[in-house]
Amino acid sequence: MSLSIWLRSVSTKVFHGRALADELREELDTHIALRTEDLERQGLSRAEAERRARIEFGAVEKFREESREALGGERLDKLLQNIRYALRQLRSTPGFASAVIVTIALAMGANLTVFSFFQAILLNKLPVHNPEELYSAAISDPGHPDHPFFSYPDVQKMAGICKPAVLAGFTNEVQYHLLDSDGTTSTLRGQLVTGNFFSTLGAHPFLGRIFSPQDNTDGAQSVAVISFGLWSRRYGRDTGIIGKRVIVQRAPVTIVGVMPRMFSGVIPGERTDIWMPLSVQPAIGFGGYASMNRVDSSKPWLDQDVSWLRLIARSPSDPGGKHLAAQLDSYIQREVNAGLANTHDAAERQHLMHVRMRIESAAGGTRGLRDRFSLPLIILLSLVALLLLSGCLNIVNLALARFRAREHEMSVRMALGSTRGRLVALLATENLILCVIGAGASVVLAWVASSLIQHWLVTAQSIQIQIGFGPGSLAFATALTLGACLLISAAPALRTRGLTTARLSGFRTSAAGSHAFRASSGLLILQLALAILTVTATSLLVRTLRNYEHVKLGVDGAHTLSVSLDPSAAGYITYGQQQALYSRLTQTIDRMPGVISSAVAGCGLMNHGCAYLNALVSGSDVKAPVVERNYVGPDYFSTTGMKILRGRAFSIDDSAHAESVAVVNRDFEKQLLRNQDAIGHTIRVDGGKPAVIVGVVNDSRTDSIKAAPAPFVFLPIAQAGAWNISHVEVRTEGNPVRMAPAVREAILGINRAIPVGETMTVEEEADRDLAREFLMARLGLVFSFLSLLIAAVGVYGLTSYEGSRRQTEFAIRMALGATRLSILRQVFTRSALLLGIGGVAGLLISAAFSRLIASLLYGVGPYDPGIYAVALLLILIASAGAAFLPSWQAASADPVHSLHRE
Amino acid sequence: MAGEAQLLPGTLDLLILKAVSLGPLHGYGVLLRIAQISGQALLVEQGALYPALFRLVRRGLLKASWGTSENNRRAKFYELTSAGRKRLQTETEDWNRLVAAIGTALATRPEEI
Repeated sequence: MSLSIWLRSVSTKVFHGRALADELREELDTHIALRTEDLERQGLSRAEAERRARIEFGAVEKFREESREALGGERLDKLLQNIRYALRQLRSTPGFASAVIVTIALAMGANLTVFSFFQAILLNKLPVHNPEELYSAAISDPGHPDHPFFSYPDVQKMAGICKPAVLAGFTNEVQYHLLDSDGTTSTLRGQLVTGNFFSTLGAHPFLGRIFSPQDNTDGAQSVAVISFGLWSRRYGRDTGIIGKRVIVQRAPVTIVGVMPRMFSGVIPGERTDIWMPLSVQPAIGFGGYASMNRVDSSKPWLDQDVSWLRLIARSPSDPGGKHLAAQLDSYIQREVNAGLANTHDAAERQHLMHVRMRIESAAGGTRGLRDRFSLPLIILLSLVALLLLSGCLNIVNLALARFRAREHEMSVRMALGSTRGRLVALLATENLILCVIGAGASVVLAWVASSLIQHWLVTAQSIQIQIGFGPGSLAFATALTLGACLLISAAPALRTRGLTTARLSGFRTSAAGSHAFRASSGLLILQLALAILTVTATSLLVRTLRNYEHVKLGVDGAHTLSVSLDPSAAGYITYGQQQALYSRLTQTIDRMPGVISSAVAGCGLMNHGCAYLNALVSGSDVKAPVVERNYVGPDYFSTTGMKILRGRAFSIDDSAHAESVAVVNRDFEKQLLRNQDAIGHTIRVDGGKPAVIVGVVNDSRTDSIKAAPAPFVFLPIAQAGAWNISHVEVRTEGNPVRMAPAVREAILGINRAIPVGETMTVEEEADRDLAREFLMARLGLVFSFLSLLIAAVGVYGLTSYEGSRRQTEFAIRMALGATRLSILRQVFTRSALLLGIGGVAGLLISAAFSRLIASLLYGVGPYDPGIYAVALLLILIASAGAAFLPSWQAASADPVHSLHRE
Repeated sequence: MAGEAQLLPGTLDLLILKAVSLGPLHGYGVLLRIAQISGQALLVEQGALYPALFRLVRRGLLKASWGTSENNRRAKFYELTSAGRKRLQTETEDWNRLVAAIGTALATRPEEI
């Protein structure tokens, strides 16, 4: 029968079921009435005729049933019947049903949650035209991290070579202050981009226009394109925004376009509010992080050899980007050859020979969040997949035990003519119902969990991420549900093969039972091993997080508030204006109740990348030393809690007219002066005035909690010349977070036009740095708890199955004089043996797995014996507890009762 | 009833199609028509007729519509669809071939081998 006919008949049946039944009755009634009339005409009485007519017709009900089937839709009937029956069965065993539903909901919920992140971070493509044609490029240089930055002349030259590909450049994201015409300021994250940036990406504006190459020429009017988010947040989606003039830093800029809601830039996880052409660089004073070799900071960067642009290229009909890679590499080789011609230093030549251009797909944006999260997410995804597998194994065990309990019922059904297919369909229907309910619950769980995590990432970690349950997640959920259902239906379905009516004789063989026990034992060993794996991996991650949290920041994180601000945006440009403001700022803040001291700084305490600069250090034999530099106010060290190890800190006497001085950190001495005392040496940073080192402070983790300390030079801000500060550090008596609003108000009280950005405690900043570790450790803890629970339930289930299976045997043994203790020992020993095997297997698997995550660990080795011992102990205690209870039950069953039942 | 022949399996559908091809009939009418055209030799079990009729309707070989019987009863009438007509033709040919083949086979004498 063709599908369409079947569908039609089913739909007729479903929608007109009652009417059809009536018609059928009417038709058969007519038949009998007509026959009765015929028989009456042959001379029978009416009553006799009707009786005969009915007899001749035969079993009305039977034919009516057959007719109904002939009308079609009987499969649907059977299905409905199966479902009704399955529901009844499940209601009669609520324990089994809820165990399965809870297991599936938790294990699948965990999978969906992790998958939604996996998808958002690793699978999602940029919302642009043909994203798979996009590539990013970096110079790879053996022994060094990839160098992804290029100068604008480089980008132009490369664009000239690479045909038909198009190349665009963009800077890192930097914080900007935006001043609106109504006098309010806001802090934004923005990028400078080449004129063809949007057209290369194939991104279209939501409103207005994108940039054109003309926007990037000298003397062009300064323009900006803003994000949908900023447009909504700041401008209430006012369509009159196009043409509006705002001030970014000090530069007047005209807004010409708004990007669509989904477009949030090319760096996944970062929020970009505003894009401006490279030509605005001098006007807005961009110059944060780029490596500054031979740069004249007073001139625009556009035509200079400043590596400040990342590269994104679109290479159409070029699978894998091979063509583009070859073209870019040829450019680099040409540069390398030019370099080789100029140098005779063997080491330098050797180094240059290995420089290559490496490209990778930028379909999902350039590396950002992906770099930090891809390995953790893959690890989490495999952990939760194992968790689901482990949960399913439990259900298989439960289902097998239940099947055994129903063997008698099944045999009766077979004896009554039910086919194996029907029985399997029945079992599968039951499982499918449970899986679907569990899956529904898991979607809700996953939605709640991922919303919570997303909220945490966005607010506490300022990682922009869009987590949604799109078609990908739904397909994943469906596949998981079906997979889980198949897995848990397969084992009982296979066992229906062993069903014979012989079972009805009441003769129970324990051979089949022990076979099932062996299979279940295998599953349990696997489960225990998986639980140990999850627990060890999580312990390693938690230990890593703990170690990071105990890293000596070198500053007093608990009492220091870091406030970002930008006085230059409010017109503090000259040395005199700036110095007056800086002393007024610290004086005002110092007078506030609850504040101990404050100090201005040219760059922030953590993650605010003070510049890396070339330095000349007297008495150092290190070639071309590079140091980090910060200009700081007088009380900087006491405010941030850095300790003066030797010499002195800065004071107000270190003025512009006094001798130039510097303070260095311990690492400076270690790396640049071979541990000599640095005091008395002179240093010239970035071609500035030579300064005498007057003090040494302890090392601090100023870049990242994860990075090793680096040589650091502090210079007094009063001796810096005109220098814009980016932060005020404030030391408070109590919780610095509570002081934040008051400090902010105090700054605005001096001048409302000063943009004040984020206020954070150093601890918060350190935590941001640990987003990945937090996420992994927290999720890991949840998953470990679940896998422990699942393993314990598994042990419990198997032991009690074993106990019930051998009930008769135990009863006989006890009748023959065995004690309860010996029975208890028998059941328990068997489980304990499994625990032992599972434990060893788990340790081996864990050791193999830990090697994979070694790169994520800090302060703890992948084979830390303590962690393995604790994990093993934890599992053993949990599962021994779970095994003991049913063993005890089996041993304390009344033998008379058991034998009687048999 | 003497002279009744047992229906060969599968022939009921063919008989119904033939009966209905001679003009629209209700269920009881189909029964009478089969008896009539087979010279009362073939009698169909009454109840078994309806599942067969519905099967044919579902396969699209018959179509049914409500009408009034000769003695003014509401009854469901069956008639052939064009698919039914085609099916009747091919099945009739198949049947004739089968009967001829079996007839030939049964008429074979030893010397003809």
